[in-house]
Amino acid sequence: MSNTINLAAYLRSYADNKESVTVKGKTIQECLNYLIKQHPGLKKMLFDQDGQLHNYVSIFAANEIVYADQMDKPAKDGDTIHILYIIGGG
Amino acid sequence: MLTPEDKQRYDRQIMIPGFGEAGQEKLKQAKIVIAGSGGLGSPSAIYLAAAGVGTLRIIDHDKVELSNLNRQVLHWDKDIGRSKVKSAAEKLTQLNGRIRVEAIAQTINDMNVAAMVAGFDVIIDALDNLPTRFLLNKAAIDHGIPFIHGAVYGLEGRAMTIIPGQSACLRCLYQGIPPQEKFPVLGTTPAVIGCIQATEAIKLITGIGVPLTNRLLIYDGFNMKFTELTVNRKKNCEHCGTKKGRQL
Repeated sequence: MSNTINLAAYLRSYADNKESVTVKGKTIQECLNYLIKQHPGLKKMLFDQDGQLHNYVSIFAANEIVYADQMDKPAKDGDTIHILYIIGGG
Repeated sequence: MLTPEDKQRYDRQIMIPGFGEAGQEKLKQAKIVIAGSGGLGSPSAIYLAAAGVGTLRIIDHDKVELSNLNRQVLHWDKDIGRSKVKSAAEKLTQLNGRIRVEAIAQTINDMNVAAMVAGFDVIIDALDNLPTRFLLNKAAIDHGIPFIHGAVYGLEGRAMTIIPGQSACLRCLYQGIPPQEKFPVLGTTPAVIGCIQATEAIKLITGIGVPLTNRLLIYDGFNMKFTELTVNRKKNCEHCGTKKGRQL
């Protein structure tokens, strides 16, 4: 089981400037945990001190939003997960 | 009613299938709010003015600074220190003297937002801060005015069109705001996104094409690619969901 996580440009500097990272996990949460093990600097960007997803980070799996209370949603093999960090520049 | 000069001026877009003189007349009668006259607002305003949108209301409280000029193409060296909306109105009326440009040098806040947008057909989100974007998103939904979101960071840009009561809103996509910080940006990024916003506005008004609703379009200038993600309405969205007593 492996999935690809695509990182928004804002987050890439916390992952060795990688656009995407291959991860393993049965759920979205496990995939994110795998990502953070490889790139620990991302942890504070994605989660608060209680381990909750920041409310300004959006996760998409299989092209649909996964909200903070849906992190135990199964990650299907081969699905691409997108992590967006809100941007507001104009 | 289009004049002979209008027909000549807008001939190339009137030729577009489905657009026609009727589409041009709709643009002539249209009223669009552009919130922000910076990196996104500049290209949006330029192309909406060139396309013949009858009334543009530009809202921005800032003055032009030297560090704006890498991307805010409505403002030039000579404008440093001037009100951005006055600078913008000057250029836009020189570009197209047949449109009306309202320059409002005010900060949008929860007390004045309703008056700023009431009676307008479309709102372009060309702001540079998230709290006001959310304020405008909510006002657009409350007033039933289509809202065209755009945002940039570095070489990344995002855009989504929100049709109140029909499609996902900005709050369905993001629920919070991170600490504010100075953002990097290459001028071509808001140029791409601002032009997408102007295109969406023109499509909505003329009724041509398929709007960018329930889809977040992401422009990645580093790798020169576009990605599209589906955004469905959130049932309990604070701005547009059933929590507000609205039907999904």
